[in-house]
Amino acid sequence: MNNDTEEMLRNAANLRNGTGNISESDVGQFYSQIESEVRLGSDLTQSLQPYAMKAIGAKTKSSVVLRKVEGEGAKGFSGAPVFIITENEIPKGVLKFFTQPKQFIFELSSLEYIYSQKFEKFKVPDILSVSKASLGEEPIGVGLYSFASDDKAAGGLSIYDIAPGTPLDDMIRAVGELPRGSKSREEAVERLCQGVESTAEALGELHTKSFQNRPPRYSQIWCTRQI
Amino acid sequence: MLGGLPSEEAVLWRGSSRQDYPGGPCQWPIFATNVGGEPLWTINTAAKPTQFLADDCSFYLVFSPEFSYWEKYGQWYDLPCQIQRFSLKGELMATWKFESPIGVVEIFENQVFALSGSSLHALKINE
Repeated sequence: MNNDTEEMLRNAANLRNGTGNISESDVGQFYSQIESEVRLGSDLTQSLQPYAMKAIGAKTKSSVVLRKVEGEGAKGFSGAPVFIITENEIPKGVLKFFTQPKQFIFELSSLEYIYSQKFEKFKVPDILSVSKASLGEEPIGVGLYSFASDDKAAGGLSIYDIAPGTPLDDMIRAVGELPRGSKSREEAVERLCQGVESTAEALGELHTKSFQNRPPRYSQIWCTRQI
Repeated sequence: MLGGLPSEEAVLWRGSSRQDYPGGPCQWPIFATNVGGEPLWTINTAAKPTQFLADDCSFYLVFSPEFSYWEKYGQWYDLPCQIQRFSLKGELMATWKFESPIGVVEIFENQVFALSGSSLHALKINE
């Protein structure tokens, strides 16, 4: 993460008020401090491509493809448009798009929390690039994350990626597709249980660590006990 | 299961989506079996079919996001709103594209009637 990004995260975190919210008047000021800007055209993926290329360090335009996240289960329902960037069919990054300016600042503020901690149960992927974007006069935020180097966290901050390599909803579906009573189904159930357990442990660590280290004003939103 | 093709004594199924590599294009397999479960043919579609209809000589797959999803993501994602007509062997015969999500679809007297946005479309079926 470069110094500009670090500063941006700190500024975002400092904008949170006592209830965790951000005042409308601070939103415009925050955006005006960001120098990098992506201008979006009617073809969204085309206008994002040069930015994505630069962020992942790709040399040729034709090798880079942005595709929306889609598939079975909860994929494609993150609340913000999310694209996976591939270079020569190899996933290189996750681009998350914030259509609400405030949500972008919330995200950056959350990242400031996460990067200030050391976690044992999961890894946090690097930020490759953060920028503001504009569609006409409307400011929008764009965050670009790398894929982690191992399979503990495959992309972005999505909780699915904490289970080793496979989204939880795919694991659930895999169980349903196997014959009842079969050994393969038993093994799939076992993998699902491990996935759920490791996800729960990661969530527990995320929230309890934050509780221990954050100012009391946030205490009402973190886990306060384990069961 | 999507539905039956009575004149072929076949059943149409939708399989789980597949990607050749993470971040690659999604494909949804549609496969036909006979009533005994033996495979007849398979095709892949680039979007998830949301409705299935059939007449004596073809079947139709409707591809349309939920309206709430389209409202939220339609500006940012390429979300197909279309109806495709296939032969009973799975060959693509026609594609009708719409500008907004598709609601009710019915086949009546050699026409497909489809509600999309605030318009009712009547699509002529060519033999």
